[in-house]
Parts: sequence; C-alpha cells; structure tokens
Amino acid sequence: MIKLSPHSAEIEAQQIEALVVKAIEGDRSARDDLARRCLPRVRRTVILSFGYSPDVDDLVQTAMTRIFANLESYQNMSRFWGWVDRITINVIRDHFRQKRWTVFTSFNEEDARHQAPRDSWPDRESDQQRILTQLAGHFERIKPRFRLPLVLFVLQGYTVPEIATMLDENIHTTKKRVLRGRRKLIKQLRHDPVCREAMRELCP
Amino acid sequence: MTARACKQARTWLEQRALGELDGASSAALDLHLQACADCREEQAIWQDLGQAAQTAPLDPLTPLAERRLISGLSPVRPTPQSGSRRVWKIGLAGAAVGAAAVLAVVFGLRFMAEPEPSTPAPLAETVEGPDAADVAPTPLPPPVVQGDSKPSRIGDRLAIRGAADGTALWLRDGAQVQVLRNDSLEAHFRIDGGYVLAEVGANEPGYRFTVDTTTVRAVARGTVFSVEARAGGDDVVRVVEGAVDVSRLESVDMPVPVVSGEQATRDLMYALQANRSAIERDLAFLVTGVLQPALVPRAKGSGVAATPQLSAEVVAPPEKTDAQQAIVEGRLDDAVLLARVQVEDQPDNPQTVETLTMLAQALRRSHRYGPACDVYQELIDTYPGTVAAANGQVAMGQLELSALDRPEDALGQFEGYLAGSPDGMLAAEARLGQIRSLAALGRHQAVIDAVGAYRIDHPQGSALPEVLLFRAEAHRALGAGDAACLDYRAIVESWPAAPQAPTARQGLAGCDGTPDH
Repeated sequence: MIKLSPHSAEIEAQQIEALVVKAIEGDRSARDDLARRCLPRVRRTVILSFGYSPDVDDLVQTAMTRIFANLESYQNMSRFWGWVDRITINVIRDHFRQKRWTVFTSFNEEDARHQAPRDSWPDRESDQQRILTQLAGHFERIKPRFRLPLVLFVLQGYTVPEIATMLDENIHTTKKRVLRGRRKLIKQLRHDPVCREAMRELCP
Repeated sequence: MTARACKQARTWLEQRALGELDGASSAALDLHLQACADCREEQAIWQDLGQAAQTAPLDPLTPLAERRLISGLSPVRPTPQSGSRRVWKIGLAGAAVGAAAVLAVVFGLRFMAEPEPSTPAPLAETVEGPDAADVAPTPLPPPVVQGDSKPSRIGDRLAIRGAADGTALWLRDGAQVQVLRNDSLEAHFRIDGGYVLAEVGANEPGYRFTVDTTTVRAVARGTVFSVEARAGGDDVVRVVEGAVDVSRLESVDMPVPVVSGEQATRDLMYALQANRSAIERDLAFLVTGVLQPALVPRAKGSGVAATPQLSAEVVAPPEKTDAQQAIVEGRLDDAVLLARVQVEDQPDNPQTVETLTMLAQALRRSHRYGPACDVYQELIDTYPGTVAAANGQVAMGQLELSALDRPEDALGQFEGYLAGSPDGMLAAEARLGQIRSLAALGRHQAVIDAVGAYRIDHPQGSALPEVLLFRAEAHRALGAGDAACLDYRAIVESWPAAPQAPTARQGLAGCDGTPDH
C-alpha cells in the first residue's frame, strides 16, 4: 500500500482543508481544484466496486454531485477522504438497490449474480494499461455484499471497524465479508497469470 | 508442507492482513512462508493487489469529459450576506451558459439578452422563500428586433430552449447566426459567417439539432462540433466528440458521417482527418477561459430557465402538416398516406413540396428505396420546373443507380437534370451520376465525353480523381492505353491521397516509361 508520510499527509490535509473552506465560500477555482482531486479517487472506487459498465460515468457524476452539494455539511477536516468515500459507497449501494440486485440481502446471490468467466482478457501487451479493468473484472465476480467492504479494505486501506461504521454493519459481519471476499479474489487471481504478471510489473 | 500447516498459515495470513496477528504467530508464519511457495504466492498476490488497485492507471478522462463532470457540480455557495436568505442550489448539470458576459447576440430575430451576472457567478440559482421578491431583476436591454444585425462577442451563447441540459451554441467574435427554429423538437441555426461551436447534450429521441451554413448542413445529437462559415462557401464542419451527419445544403446526397477528430467541407464531402491543432483549438474554447460556463437563473417552480433564452417571438416556423408530423415521429406508412391526401387537398401549399421531399428522404434513410423513388417521381410529376423536383431527379437517379441497380433509368434522371438545370446546384452531382451510369452500362466513349464535360464545367470538382479513373478505364477498354496512362498519372500526381490513387498506381504500373513499371 502506498501511504503518505505523516508530513505529506498533513500538508495534503491542510491543502484540502483550505480548498474546502474556499469552495464553501464561493471560490469556483477552489471548487474545481477540489473536484479534480476528488475525481480520480471517486472513479477508482466506483470502477472497482461496480466494474466497468455504462453506468460508471453516471455513478461518478452522481457521487461528485452529491459530494459538492453537501460540502457545507462536511465538518471534520481530518477525514475528508473518508467522507468522500462514504458518499461514493452510498451512491453505489443506492444504485445496487435501485437495480434490485441482491446486495445486502439474504437472497441467493450466487445464483442471481453468477457470472461466467470473461471470454477474453485484454492483450498481453496492454496489460499494464488495462490492469484496472482486469482487477475490476475480478472484483465484479465477487458478490456485492463482500465486494464493497473488500474494495474499501484493499483500495482505501480502511480498517474493519472503519468499514463497519461506513457501511453501518456489525464489525464481525464486516470482517467475515472482507475475508470471504479476499479468499475469493485470491483464488481468482491465482488462475489469472496474465493479471498476476501485470500486477507484478506494476508493483516491482 | 502439510495441508494442515498451510491451512494454519492461510489463517495467519488473513489475520496479518487484518492487522491482528500476534508476534509469535507472525514469526511462525514467516518460517512457513520461507518453505512454502504456495503460501508465499498468496501473500505476494495480496501485497501486489493493494498497490495495483491504488496505482493502476485510470483511463484518462478527456478534458471535455472532465469539464462536464466538474461544471455539472453543485455551484458553490457565495458568502452569505446579512439580511439575505438567498439560497443557491444545484442547477442543471452542464447548463453552462456563456461567459460572464451576456447575450448581446442575435441576428435576424428577436430575443432577450441576459443581464451581466454578479460575481461569483453560479451555474444556476433558485430563488426561494419570501425573500424572492427582494431579488430585483436587472433591467433587460431592449430586445433586438427582426432585421437587426449585431456582431457577437467571444463567449456569447444562445441558450437552447427545449433541449437537454448542456446543449448550447457557442459563438466567437463576429459570428452571424440566424435561429431558424428552436423548440422542443428541433433547434435549427444558420451560420452566415464566423465560427460557432455546438455542444449537444443527450436529447430526447427525435430531437434534431442542425447547423447550416450557406453551403453545408450538419445534423447532430449528443456531440460537440464546430462550424466555420468562410468566405466563398469554403465552410468546414469539424467534430470534436461524437458524430455528425454532414451534407451539402442543397444536395440530396446521403449525409456523410463525420466522427470525432474528422472534418468535412463542401468540396470534400467525405470525412477527413482534421488538423489536430484545429480540434485542440475547438476544445480549448470549451475547456479554457475563452468560453466560460455561465448561468441560467431559474425561477422557482417553473423549471424553465428565465434568462438567457430566446423569446417567444424569435421563431415562427410554419406549423407542421400531419404528414410532416408523421415523418418526424417515424410513422412512415402513415406519412405516405397523409402526404397523398396533402397533395390532393393542398397542391398549391408550399408545404406540400417540402412534405414530399421530407418523406422521400425519410424513406431513403430507412432504406425503403422503392417507395422513396415513388415519392420522388410524384414530386417530379406534380411540381415540374421546381428546384425540389429537379433535385428529386438527382436523388432518384442516385437511388436507381446505387441501390436499385437500374443504371439506364438512373442515366435518364441525371441527364434530365442536366438538360433542365445545367447550372443548377446539383449539376456536378448529376454529371458524376451520368458518368457512373454510363460506366455501369459499358458505354465507354460516352464516359469519355461526359468526363470531358465534367472537367470543363467543374475544373475544381471534388470528384475529379473518380471521373478521371472512369475515363482511364474507358480508354483502356477502347484500347487507348496511352490516354489511360495519362489519366492514371494525373490522378497519382495530383491526388496522391485520394481513394482512387492506389488503383491508378496499379494502372500506371502497366504503362511504359514509368518508374513503377
């Protein structure tokens, strides 16, 4: 995992804090700057949580709109990204619910959400560029109720209690879901040497 | 390694991932990992996964997509002022309107200009509550009346009523624009000069967005494209994003699809790769400060942009006839019946000619070539001597030649047009059709003669390489190899990038005294 040094993290937090304050005060350039910083994080979360689909852009737009519509309600400056991630995840959950998918229900998701392996993975030459697509494909094959906590765990590095709070779930339940998702994901990746190799190249 | 040891190691790996592994177990796990490749693999996958998920490159957003995402965000709230309960709310995503300035545009029509916005300028505002009355509207400048002509300024924008959010026509300095139509079904503009950039949002099915110059027509949905109306009719349609159907204004050619990064001009009515810097310049107008997103104030509860917008007096298009309405709605069978009724009941109504033309074009677009020819024939027979009938001849000839494989009939249509309208707008098309028909019929000497006529009448014609290739083939068929070689050489040397050039090179390779030989 890439972690900012405490000093860098502090500087970034201060920058974000300043941008938020200016944006709330009506500084459009600050708002745009803040939006440009949020956009990659929101997109990455949506893509890994939802997979690549035509809905991704809509979800990103919805999440961004919701973030900036509620910017004034954001209070705790030290947790800006947590606030952003929580909104993003809620947008994704709302979307799953609207689609009547089997998220967070006891419905037999395995039957409903079962997906055949993809017909073809991207060409070997472009793995480096398409690795996020490949990873999104692997995440997509995990049931949504396991996938969302796993994305927060793997992508954003949240702890289980933090994820449980964000998803409004029991800690024990969240831990089980993270671990089940992890097992499934590792199993899939073991059988995808192309993706594994691309990951290795990306993370020497 | 035993299965039991690996099972324990996997449990430890999970605990380590969760940050719950104690020191003793961690040491034992490390010992196991040194000896077990399979468990090492699992650990490596997990370690790589986190970093890959965080650092794998995202598909970059285009500047335009990013701009749309960001400009569609909620407006920031201005610092509250005492005594004011003005609430700024989210406006329509992408309801970006031109710069800080206001519309002082308009050309040949009447519309209201927007007052200068205060700073900071929100994308949109909603005025709520009892204090709404406190918001005194800035007096509007007097409307520009019909016939007035006023040059536009950078950033001027026509808000397009009835269209999807984000649909707009941006104008540069000096653009001369007429609004021919602007309602929930269609926005139709004519650019008499200058540069405009059209940004067309995702509109309702059936909504039509058209920009004409004096020579070409561009029809689009969900796209961004620019139109430059240049002196001498050398107009250019350039597509930044999406696709646009481009056709000559007075032509009955099938529209040419021009996609992102391409352009089309009147003389080269096929898509060409656009100059990258020109596309970037188009994009820059949207992305940079030259054309700022601006505001559409919205009156509470109305759901309709207050200003800027075109006033109700702007456009007075003729009411659609029932047949035209059926065409617009895609009910072509109904349209055929209704058109017949219209021809019988209102033969002198100018709309009837338009109805027949629209119907024939719609049938052609839906690949119903036979019925389309029937309608063209009706047009030709009922309204002889009109421009529409003459154009119908060329259109019908093209259908008969290329879609119905009736070159003899097609030849009659083209020659009929040339006899009646030798200097007509479609004379070049008709001559080209004549040449193609003659070639299809194997009348080689007639091809040679017709090509000679084409060269005299249209020395700069865009179809020159094609007609020269026809002539070369005709010469060759008649045993005049030297004459054929001259035409091949002319094509290769004058139009090396033309679609006919490879064939010409092959032909030239068979000629004496050529380097390729």
